[in-house]
This record gives sequence, structure tokens and C-alpha cells, in this order.
Amino acid sequence: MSGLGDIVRDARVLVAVGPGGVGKTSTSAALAMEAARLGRRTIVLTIDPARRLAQSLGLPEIGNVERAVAPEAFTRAGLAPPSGRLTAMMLDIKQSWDEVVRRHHPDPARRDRLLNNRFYVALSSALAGSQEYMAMEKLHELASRAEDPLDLVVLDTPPSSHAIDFLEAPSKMIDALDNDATRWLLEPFASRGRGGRMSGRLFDLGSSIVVRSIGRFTGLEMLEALAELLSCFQDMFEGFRHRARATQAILAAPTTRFVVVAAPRPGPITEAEQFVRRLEAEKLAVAGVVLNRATPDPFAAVDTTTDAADTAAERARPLLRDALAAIAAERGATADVAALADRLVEAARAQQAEAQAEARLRARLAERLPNLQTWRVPELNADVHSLPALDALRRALVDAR
Amino acid sequence: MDGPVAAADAPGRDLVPDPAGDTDVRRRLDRRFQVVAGKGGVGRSVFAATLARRLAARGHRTLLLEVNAPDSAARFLGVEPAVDAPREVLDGLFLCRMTPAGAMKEYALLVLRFKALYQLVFENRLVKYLLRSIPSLAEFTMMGKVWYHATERGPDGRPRFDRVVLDAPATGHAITMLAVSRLVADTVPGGPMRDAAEKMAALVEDPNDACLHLVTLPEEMPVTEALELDAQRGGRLAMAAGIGVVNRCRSPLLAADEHALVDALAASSDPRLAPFVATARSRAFREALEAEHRARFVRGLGAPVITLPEASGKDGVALTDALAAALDAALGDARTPEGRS
Repeated sequence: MSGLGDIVRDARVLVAVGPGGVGKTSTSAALAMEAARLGRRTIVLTIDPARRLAQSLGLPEIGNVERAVAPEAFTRAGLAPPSGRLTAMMLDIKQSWDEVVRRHHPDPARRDRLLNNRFYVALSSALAGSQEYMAMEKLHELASRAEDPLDLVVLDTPPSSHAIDFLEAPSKMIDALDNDATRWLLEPFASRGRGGRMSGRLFDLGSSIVVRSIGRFTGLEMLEALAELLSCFQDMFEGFRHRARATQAILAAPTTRFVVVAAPRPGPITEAEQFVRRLEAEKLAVAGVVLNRATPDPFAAVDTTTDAADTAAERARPLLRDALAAIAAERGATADVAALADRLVEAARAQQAEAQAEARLRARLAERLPNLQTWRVPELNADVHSLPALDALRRALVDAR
Repeated sequence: MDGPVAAADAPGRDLVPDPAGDTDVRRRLDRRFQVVAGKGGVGRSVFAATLARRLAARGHRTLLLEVNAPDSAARFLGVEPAVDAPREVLDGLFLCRMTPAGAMKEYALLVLRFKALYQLVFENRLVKYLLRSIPSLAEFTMMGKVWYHATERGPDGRPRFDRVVLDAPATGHAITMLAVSRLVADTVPGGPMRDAAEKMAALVEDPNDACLHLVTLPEEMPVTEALELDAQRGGRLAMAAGIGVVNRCRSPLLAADEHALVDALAASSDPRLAPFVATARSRAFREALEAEHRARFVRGLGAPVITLPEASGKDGVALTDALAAALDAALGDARTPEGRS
């Protein structure tokens, strides 16, 4: 059974996946921080950071720029600067598309036309699977760069309604843009002759009805603008597919690990299980599941069984009342100590019930996936958006069992 | 929760009670076309259902539209799951579900008129591929359906629905849906789609008839996303503001004068009392965080904000009933009689 510290020490690529809202971004940043502390040159690539997290990492508003978290930032936060190096980058989808087009479009004239195409400008970020695809492109770029090479890339995947989107979305996006259908249907526009609007295959009866009907649906003019966009993209498809394959190879490499970040609650745990099974089906290496924001059991120190805790709570009720009454009397306070005691007991029992429900979910996950490692990270009672808070999360992750 | 609770912390208004303000809130909750948006999981659907039911109870023929999920509204209203066409589920309350595929089919049939032609073209596998690849087309056709029902007239020439409530999909898709009409109107050179888009944009951007309500939880990301949505609303969406709603607000565990007592308890080293101190401490911490997030939302939004209580353990109609009562209380309304007056 390895700890997260070991994983962060040995992996070259760490991909954090999972449902949104369970601390995936903070966990990615905290793990990257640990790697840097271990002497590694580490980058954390975030997609959707809360603004304050970005600020605490020293990231500017603009994206796609790698920024180092300066040693001074650590010392100012009362922390020892890492012996390695921690850098961070915030993915900006629109900028990423522009970069990819600029870098990989083989034809300068058509490239500029693409960058200025009204659809491209408006909709490149709306293209389904765009975020996930761009994360892959960036991962490929960072993991394979020769200059100032990195020891570890920690990728915080985009929040999606289904974490599995991350694996499927890029190829879906490529397929949506580049398939027999789009080529077949848009060929008349792409090869339009001089003088006439349409030419060639459009005069086949079949495609004529089809294209005209679609034209009535979308408006012929829109179809033309879209056709131009798709035809400009066509030149890039081979590159897309080539890099997508290369990124797949990175994801499947023996030094890559997937960490599923979830929480011990029904929805996130179900998704976590689905994701682990999916990763295993793709023969990708799952390090384990982080169960964040776990509710502490107030009676954990007292005893672990429910009955004992029940008894402990009930025995404590009159004790609590008497203690509160004594304190109130001392201060001349007129509080309804019986009601207060009841509320405190109720709240503590409710919290315990939550903690126990979470423990049961974890146990069930272990039953269903016996070879899976899980790490429980207690609720830190802090918004993790400052370097000290990130460091506390780092320690909790490294110590988690 | 029983026990002394400071009035300002009770579920209700985060702003100082203000009779004039209440009228403003009531007006916002009475617009012809209301959109309910927010991050996934904040209680958008239950608020939309509560709102729609309330409008119908006041005598307005109300249509509640939901995207994709066929049984969210059904669960919260205690009725049969939604279908693709408006169906009356409670007195004066109609429910309708939209899916991208369904909306596209309806629109296509409207445009093409002949079912045989539709089948030849749109059920062609290759055409399906193409349509899937046109970004935002799904959102556009769904907005088209929204517009269609919002402006539909009955045989008597009167609007078929007095009020339309759209339970928007989660943040990103909601923005796309609300922005796509203007986008298409400004982008597409001309033709049937552009004409439709202009009309749809006019509905969304109408300052008197339309508004956007933002629902959140007293948590980091939901508030951040709600405020980002609001920025879009005032910016490219050009939509009027409705109200803000913060769901799942817990009453504080301790009253102001009780904190000192519990702190003093900590000083006593009796280990049997430690669990209660620990619980009180972590509750106090969470409550302080939640209060901060609520305050950030109120400050950032500018519009009136209603806070609705945590109704743990409640689901379905019981939850809607609880929220409806809380909403009435927050507005200082007497409880309205069931059914139409």
C-alpha cells in the first residue's frame, strides 16, 4: 500500500480526474507542491481554478503562461521553499485553440482565414469536447518538451458532468469535425466553381434535396460559413489525430498515474467507481481514489461502535447540562442550558451519523474494487486558497490512510 | 431547529426587511418569462418547480420547461414525468421537457413540413453526424422551442401561457442557451435562422418581460459560478436580473450568547465532553464560511437575495412544500390557499 507521497515522487505524469466540487483542483495543486518539496521540477496545469487559488499560486488573469510559484511566496507564507520547483499554468481554451492553429496549420493563408472565420471566433470554445481536447494538447506539449524539461506534470482535468468525458471527449470532438459525413456534405461548398454558388456533386438529386433541406433548416448562408470553417480545419485533422495518438501513449505510459478525486458521498463515489472501472478497461494505471472532505466522527476517540457512542452520548447529556449550568451560573448568564445541551448532543450525533455513512460507502467501494487504494482526507475546515492552506492539504494527503 | 436564533440568521432575506423591496422581489417573481440558473447540484430544479407551482396557484397558466431530465420537476411536483409537449400536471401548471434531439426534430418538421422529407434527410446517419458537429445548434433549437411556447397563442388569440419558467441546464450550457440567439442573429448573414434568432433574442433581452434568477449554495464554487453567470447576464446576455436564491442555509447551531458557554466548556478537560465541543467548533467554522459565501453573493449580485433553509431529509413534494413556505415567509406573504383562487 503506497502513500500519495510515493506516487508523487515516482510518476512523470499525474492526472487528477473526478466529479467537480470535491477539491480536485486544490488536490492537484497540493500534490504538485509535495513533488516540488521532494526536489522535482513540477508543473500543475489547471483548467478551472477558483480565482483565489490562482491568486495564491501567483497566476495572472491571462492563461496559458507558465508561472513559477516564487520561493519568496513560500517564505512569506511561513513555509520552507521547495528544493525542486513548482510552476503552474491555467488553461485558456480560446488561446489554446489559437496556439494550436498557429502552430500546426500547414497553410498560412487558410490559417488566417480560419482564425478570422466568424464561426471559429464565436464558437471554438463552445465546441463539445474542446476543453478536454485542449487539455490533451497541452499535456502533450508539456510532457514532451526538450527545453527546461519537467520531472512531473500534474494535470487537473476539466470539471464535467461525467468525469469519463475526459477520456472520450477529445476523439469525439475530432470525429465530429472530421468524418465522412462532413466531407461528403460540404464538398460542394468547398469546391465551388467560379460564377456559380454550387457545383459538382450538388447536382446529384440525392445530395441536392439533402443539402437544400438542411439549408432550409439552418439557412444556406450559415451552412456556407460552417463549410468554410470545416474545410480550413480539414488541413489540421491529420495533426490532431497524430497528437491525440501521442497523448494516448503518454497516458498509457508506465510512469503515468491517474488519481481519482472524489468525496465519500453517494454521487461522487458512484462516479469514482465508474471511472476506475473505465480506466482499468482502457489499461490505464489508477493510483487510487482520494476521498476528500471526509466528515470527522466526533466520537472516534471515545469508541468506534455505534452502541458505545450512543451510550456515551446519552451519559454525556446530563454531564453536559450540569457543566453548562455551572458555567452559566458562574457568569450570571441566563441560558436555557437543557435546550443547549440537547442541541449539542443532536448535532454531534448527526455528525457521527454522517461520518458512519461515509465509512460504509468507503467499505462498499473496497468490497466492489478490492485492489483499489483509497485515501481518506478529513474536512480541513478551511477554504483551500492560500499557500498555508494548500500546504495543510498537502500534509493531509501525504498522511492519508 | 429549536432554540434561540437571531432574527437576522433565520431563513429569509439577507437584506434588511424592506416593504418596498419586497414589492420589487414580488415583481421579479411575476415576470412572463423567468429563467432559473446556477451550478449543477444547487437546487435549481426544486426552486424552479416551487416558483412555477406558486405562479399557477395564483391563477396564472404556467409552463415549466426543463432540459433533458424528464423526472426532476416530476419528483418535486409529485406528478408524472415530463414529456416532449406541454402537459397539464397540476391545476394551471403545465410541464414540458426538452432534449436537443427532440427540439431539433420539432424544428425541422416545422421547417420542412413533410414528415417523409424529414425522415429522408434528418434520420440519415450522415446528416445526424453533421448536425451534431454544428456547435450550439442543439441549444439554438431548444431556445427556439422555448420561444415558440412563450409566444404561442391559443385559438382565442390569447397567449397560451401567462408565465413561462425555464429550469436552465447547468451553468455553461445555460449561458450557451441564453446567448445563442443573439450570437446567431449577429453571426449568420441572413435567412430563416437569422430571422428566428432575432425574435428569440428579443424575448430573452426584454427588460420587462424576462429575467434571470440565480440559485446558489453558501459554498465557494456555486457562488463563484453564480456571480460569473450574473456578469454574463448583464453583459453579453443583456438580460434583466431576477433575484438571487441561496439554498440549504442552516440556522446557526449556537445563539450569540451561547458561544462563550461552549468555549468555557472546552476549558474543562473532561474527555466525555470533548465530542460536543469539537462538533460545535466545526459547525461554527462551517457556518462562518457559509456566511462569508452568502455575503459575497449578496454583495456581488446587487439584486435582492432570498435565503432558503436546509430541509434535510426532505425530498420530492415535501421539499417543495418546505421551500414554498419559506419563500412565502421570506416575502412576508400569508400562506396562499392551495389551487387557484
